[in-house]
Amino acid sequence: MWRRASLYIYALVAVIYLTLPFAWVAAVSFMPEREVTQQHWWPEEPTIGNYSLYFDVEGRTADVGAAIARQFPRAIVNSLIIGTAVMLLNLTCGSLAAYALSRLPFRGNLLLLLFYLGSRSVPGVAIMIPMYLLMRSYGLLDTHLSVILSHTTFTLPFTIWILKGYFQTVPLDLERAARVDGCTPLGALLRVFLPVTTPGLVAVGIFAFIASWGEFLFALLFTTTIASRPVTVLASDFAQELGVPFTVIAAGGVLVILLPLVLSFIFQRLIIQGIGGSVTG
Amino acid sequence: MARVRLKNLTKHFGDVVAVDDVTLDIADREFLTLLGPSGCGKTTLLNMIAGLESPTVGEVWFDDRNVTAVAPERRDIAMVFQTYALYPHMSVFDNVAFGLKMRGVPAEDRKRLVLEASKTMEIEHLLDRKPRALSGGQRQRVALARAIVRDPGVFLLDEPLSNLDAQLRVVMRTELKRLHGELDMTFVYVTHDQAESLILSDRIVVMKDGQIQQIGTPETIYDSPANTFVAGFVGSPPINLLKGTLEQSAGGAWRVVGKGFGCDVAASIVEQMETPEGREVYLGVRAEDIGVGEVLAEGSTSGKSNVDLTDIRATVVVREPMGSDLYLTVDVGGSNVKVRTRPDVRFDRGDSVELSFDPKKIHLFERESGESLVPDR
Repeated sequence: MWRRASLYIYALVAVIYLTLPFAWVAAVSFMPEREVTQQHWWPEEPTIGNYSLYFDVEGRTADVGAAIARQFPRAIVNSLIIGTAVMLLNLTCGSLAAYALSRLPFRGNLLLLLFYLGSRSVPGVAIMIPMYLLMRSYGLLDTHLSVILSHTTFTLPFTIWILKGYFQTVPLDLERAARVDGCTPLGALLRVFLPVTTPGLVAVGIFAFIASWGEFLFALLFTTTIASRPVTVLASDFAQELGVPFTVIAAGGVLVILLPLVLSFIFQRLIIQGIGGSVTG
Repeated sequence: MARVRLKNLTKHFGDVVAVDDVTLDIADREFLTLLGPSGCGKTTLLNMIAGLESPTVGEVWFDDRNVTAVAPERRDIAMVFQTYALYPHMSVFDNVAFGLKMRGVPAEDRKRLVLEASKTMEIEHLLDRKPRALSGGQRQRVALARAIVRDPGVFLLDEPLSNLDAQLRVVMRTELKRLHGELDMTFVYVTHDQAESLILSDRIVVMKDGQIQQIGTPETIYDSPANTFVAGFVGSPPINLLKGTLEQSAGGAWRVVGKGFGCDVAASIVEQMETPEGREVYLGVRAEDIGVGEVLAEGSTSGKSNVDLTDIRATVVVREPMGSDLYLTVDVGGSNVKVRTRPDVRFDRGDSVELSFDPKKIHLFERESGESLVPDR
């Protein structure tokens, strides 16, 4: 009884701790500017005016921060392109590597895996300059590709690690049964192995996407114009412009966070299965 | 329908020899069991027949076709796995139909065949369910249906009953025997359960350390084990093995004499040996071939009258009533001997008894090599 009650209390505290800041930002984004200075917790006269600035519906070009806000839709598209590409790269390279590591015995198997993981422990700042020089010499600065490549380098080891563990829970007999049932090795992979590992693939895909969506350092370093700048970098511009109303910034924050949030809710069940679960035949 | 021939099959995994030079001829429609402890190479051998492992050396033939290099999907086989290996993302119907679909069987025929197989396995009411919603026994039936639906030439079964509870195992064992009777297929069955192998098989192949120890009908394997390993592995409880030496009495009769026992040996057995006198042997005697009686007086016993008289004194150590039988563990000169007798026998722990071994049923094994010294019965 007490055990259960304390568990619920813990869960409640955790939920409040995690959601309150976001809930407050969301509430502020619907407030007129003066309500923030009055230290309201909840909008008394809710408005969508802060959002309209982003989509330029009223032609409010004179507002402070409007120039940045109007670039938001384009920046979100940039983030979307980068995030999706990072996700797809993670899924293709990650699943193939994890499949090999979990299924095909080869010399140096474990060493390779540790090398992947080790590369994850190098802080981004340490490789910032060499990567910048690399991107410059390949002429990739201010392109989506530069950000995609850099994000993939630090998400892929994690993807491989998670997927390898997940793939190992798939009974070998499942693929063998598929072979006996008439599948080629590739057919067994596509028709049996990949469908049963969907939760794991979805989970790492979403993680890679969200990690890329929220990454700031490399995106800031490699992008200069709105042609490639993702939304996290653009949002930081608000900090450099004086007098941008807090309500407008809050609306921007909500816009940035919305997509990962929706994705997490949609795939919630698969993510939990993919991280905590295993496949049984 | 297919005759399966294995020619000098050998499989190495690194330095480990999993299967060592196995040659075997499996007749069409035969039920052949590969029996042995875990790690004896029986599953590897089955996988090589299936094409899931390629042999290091040797060939696999189906009828007149060398299939050694043929991929599993191109061999006319079906397989049932220990873990069932049902596709968790498909319904029971799709699981059973999958192999047909892969072979391009039209949808209508597929449906008909799946229904037929489901009827045979009595799973018609489960076709819409996912495997996770099935019990162990139901999964097993689905796995069998998936295998028989394609009407393969060779049906491979890898310990299919080992994940079932004891009661269900008995039911499914009968089911398998019925299936073999109904289907025109060659069955190759892998198990470590000697009782299963005795009940189901036309022939048994006993394996150890990748090598065949003996091939024979269940009766041959049980009554004339080729060596101490086969004798000990097949039969429950395991055969009693007692250390002894062959001696000739003044009257010319041969006996095995060991610590606390002496037992007559038929002259026909000894005649085949070059130097029987003083030869060190194991005397093997099964629990049901031992008579047990009360100690009446020096040199005489009550009890089974059809057993020749011997003079083996023993003390009861454990009494295990099993309902239809009674098992006694008795001490003979420091060795434990299992005796199977009638449940109404009253001997209990600490009682002195006299045992009699049936000379016609005893086994003699060379002590050093473990090979049988008794010709096939």
